[in-house]
Amino acid sequence: MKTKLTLLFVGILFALSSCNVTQKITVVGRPGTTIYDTNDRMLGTIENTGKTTLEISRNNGYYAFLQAQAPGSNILVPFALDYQDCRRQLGQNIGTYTGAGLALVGATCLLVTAIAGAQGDDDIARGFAFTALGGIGAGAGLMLPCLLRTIPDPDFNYISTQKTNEDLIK
Amino acid sequence: MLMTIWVLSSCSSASFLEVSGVGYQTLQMQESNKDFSDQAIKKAQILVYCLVDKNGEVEVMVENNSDQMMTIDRTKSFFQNQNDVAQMYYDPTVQTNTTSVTHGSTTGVGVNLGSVARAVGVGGILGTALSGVNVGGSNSTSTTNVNTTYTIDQPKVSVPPHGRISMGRTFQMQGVGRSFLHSAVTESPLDVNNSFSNSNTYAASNIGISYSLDNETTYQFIETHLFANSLLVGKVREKGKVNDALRTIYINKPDALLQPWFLLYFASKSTKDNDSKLQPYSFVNYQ
Repeated sequence: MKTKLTLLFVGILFALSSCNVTQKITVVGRPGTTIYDTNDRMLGTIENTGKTTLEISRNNGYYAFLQAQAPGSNILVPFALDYQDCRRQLGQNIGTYTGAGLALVGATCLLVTAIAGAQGDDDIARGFAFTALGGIGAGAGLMLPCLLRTIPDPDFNYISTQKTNEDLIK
Repeated sequence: MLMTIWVLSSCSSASFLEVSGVGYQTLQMQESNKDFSDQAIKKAQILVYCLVDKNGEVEVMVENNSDQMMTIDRTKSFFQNQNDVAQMYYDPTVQTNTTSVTHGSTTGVGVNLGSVARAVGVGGILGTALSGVNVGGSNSTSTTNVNTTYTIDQPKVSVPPHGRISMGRTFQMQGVGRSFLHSAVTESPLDVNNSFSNSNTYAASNIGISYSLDNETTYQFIETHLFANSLLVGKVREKGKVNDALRTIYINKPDALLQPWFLLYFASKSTKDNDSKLQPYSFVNYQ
């Protein structure tokens, strides 16, 4: 039981942490090509390996495109950023519901503890008390971070590798 | 139970991103086949600059290229969309802007007799009775100032020699801009690749400027015609594969990024400023 709970907890944390507010992407293109954002601010230059890693802020919603400027060219060539749906919301809901369920089980056990204690059945009371504390603690620990997490809208991730379009421009 | 209801009701409702395609359009000035050499421009009396932003708003600037004072008659200068009535640059309506500011002040002092009674050692029934009594008090006054500003448009404006002015109003060029491209992309089931001339275009506008260089003895007229000469749409075929849609446009129009004025728009529900690229350009006409 403990192992299952741990696995569940780790799984939910992984689901939540896989979608960050800033995201690193790799842009593949001709070495020396400079990458600019939509406001013509330079983000980086493609290295001799033919790629560069950039960090894109997610605070301003979806950046539909970035721009690539080949060495010696004065044209900024837009390339669209491909994306995929993200499941932050699903992860948040799973975490929240699971946490709430655990806390509810803990609360029920607490009630049983109180009743058993009142009837003088100390063994049962002690057994349920540990379960109650564990359930409430784990439930709150799982639920609160999920509830406090702000989910960007819309819920998406950029594809990790994006390609420039210099090959198509005359 | 209450906690569970709270938890359920507090769940966020983020939506998924949906980019349906990429739209692209270009504008051209009908008079662009004129001689635009430096010599020709130098001989011109008037230069008309037209700037079109990413929302299709057209701003017109006029430059007096002569050595005389120029008078522009805004009552006879206009902007006209294709198949629409002309709109004058002169706006005869009086614009009012009213602001009101309220100033307030409070004067006076209140003394609670109960506290005085306690301070001087009066207790018992009298002290209790005085505890709720206030003497003196405050006086509040307030005044409200209403400021109204009237803005009256000028029917005629003067431009000094080699000076430049804005015509003062901007007009929406129908069929141009992000909003139009959004509709074009979302309503089109297929890719679009169309070129247009000034006679068969889907979007055109006519800008007329009436001006005088002889102290209003005679007026001359210059017209500038803008029209959309291309419209391309690349649809997103597989969710999230936006660049393939963009590449469709580059394939169908290899000189897409070499046009003087173009607007590239990515149609999504996320209406942020970073959904489009405008190649800004000032269309210049002269006479």
